[in-house]
Amino acid sequence: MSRPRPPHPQPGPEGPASCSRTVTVQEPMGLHLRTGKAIVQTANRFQARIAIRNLDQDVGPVDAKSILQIMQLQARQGHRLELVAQGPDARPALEALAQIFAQPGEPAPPS
Amino acid sequence: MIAIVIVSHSRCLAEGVREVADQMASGQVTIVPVGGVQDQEGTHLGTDPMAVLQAIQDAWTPDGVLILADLGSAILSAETALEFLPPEQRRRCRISNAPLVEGAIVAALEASLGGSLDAVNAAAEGTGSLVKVARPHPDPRGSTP
Amino acid sequence: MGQQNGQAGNGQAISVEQIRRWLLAYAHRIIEQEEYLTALDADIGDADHGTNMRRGLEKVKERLEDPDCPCNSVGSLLRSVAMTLISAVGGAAGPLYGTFFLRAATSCNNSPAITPAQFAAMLRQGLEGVKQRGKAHLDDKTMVDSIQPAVEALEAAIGQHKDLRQALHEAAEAARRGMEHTAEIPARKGRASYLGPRSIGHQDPGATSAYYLFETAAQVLATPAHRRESPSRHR
Repeated sequence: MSRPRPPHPQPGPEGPASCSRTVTVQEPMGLHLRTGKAIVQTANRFQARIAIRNLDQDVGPVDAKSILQIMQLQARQGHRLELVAQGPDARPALEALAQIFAQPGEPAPPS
Repeated sequence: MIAIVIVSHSRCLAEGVREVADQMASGQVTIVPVGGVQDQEGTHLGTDPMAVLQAIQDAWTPDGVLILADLGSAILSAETALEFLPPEQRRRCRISNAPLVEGAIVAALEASLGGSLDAVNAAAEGTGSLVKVARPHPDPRGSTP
Repeated sequence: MGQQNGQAGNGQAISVEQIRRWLLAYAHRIIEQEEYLTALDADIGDADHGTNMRRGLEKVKERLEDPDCPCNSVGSLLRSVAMTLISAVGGAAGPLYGTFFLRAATSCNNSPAITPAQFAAMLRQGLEGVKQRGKAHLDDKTMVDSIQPAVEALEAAIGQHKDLRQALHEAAEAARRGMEHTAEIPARKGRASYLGPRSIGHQDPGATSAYYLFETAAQVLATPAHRRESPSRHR
């Protein structure tokens, strides 16, 4: 079975179930693979389409459910990432993702 | 869930790649490393198609096996190994064009999330165009005063 | 045709014992040329062709000298050589030569002796296997450059009813010319292709090791073989 890869939700005016949030990369080495893995695993628990944009590198939006795309964010310490989610569980999805960034180096458990 | 075979000229390299990929998959994905050739003088750099065949059979799952190889003769060895598989198994194997390390990391995570053989391979091959060294400054075109 | 029953009669059939001697001669030739092959590979590759081939052909030699070596049919003998090369060579030459002998084996499965035409057909199958496996064509500066002209020369000579000795001689000459021609062209396959035009002037190591197949065939196969002399076989 293949996971669906919907088009990225764009920041800006969206439907009622869309929301966004900006987080800052706190890890000294930037957004590393373990954190990327936590983001992808967390994002995949939700139905919502979730996109991430690196506001400081002008990269994205990329699909938060794809490790390949997360790796393309070039996110370093201090970079601001905009998370945009769209779907019935957009809000809890962003909540869970923000948790990952709130605890640098200590990614949220995947379940 | 698909399985992954890592083929390298060096047994150590194959095992090292498995180690990093394993961490991404949280141990949920079968990842089998294979590499090196042996003779009476010891182990040499190289790949043995029959050992690759054995690795594929060890890793086998009906969901499919993705084979990631380092370079040159590792690819030839993997192709030769596939010739010895029954056609119905061969159809469920892919030799990936992905870079070995990045491809294995991405494939392991995507496989652990339940991606199909072709979806996982596509993600792994996508790492070939990955930008590894970030631009030192934001694109000036994006930040004109 | 097959009435010689494994004996090389008037030179118009090739027995499995002759094939065994041919491959044994090939193994000796490769082992003795290890340094030369490695030197050729050092110029345009990764300097391991001689070592890898020597490692593989030493195993082949052991296999061919083993009393348990399957000598009841040409196909099983070639298959045994193929499997040994596939496992023991280690570099790209393993799958390529392995595929060559494996494909060759399938075209003469249970024959204790083969006609020259069957021998040519067998080499043709091997050639096609190598081209497919290596995705190589003529003038890519690979082993194909010596094997293909040799197979074509052999097919032509046999088609013109030349005797086996003459046909094998022409095949070996064609292989030699093909091998030498690889020094005049840039590589388009393998590591040497990274050098592009700088690979011109260097003879391809794979074409060279493949030439020895035909060189030794001309030396060994044109001579009728007696049965294996003694239990303590020598080379």
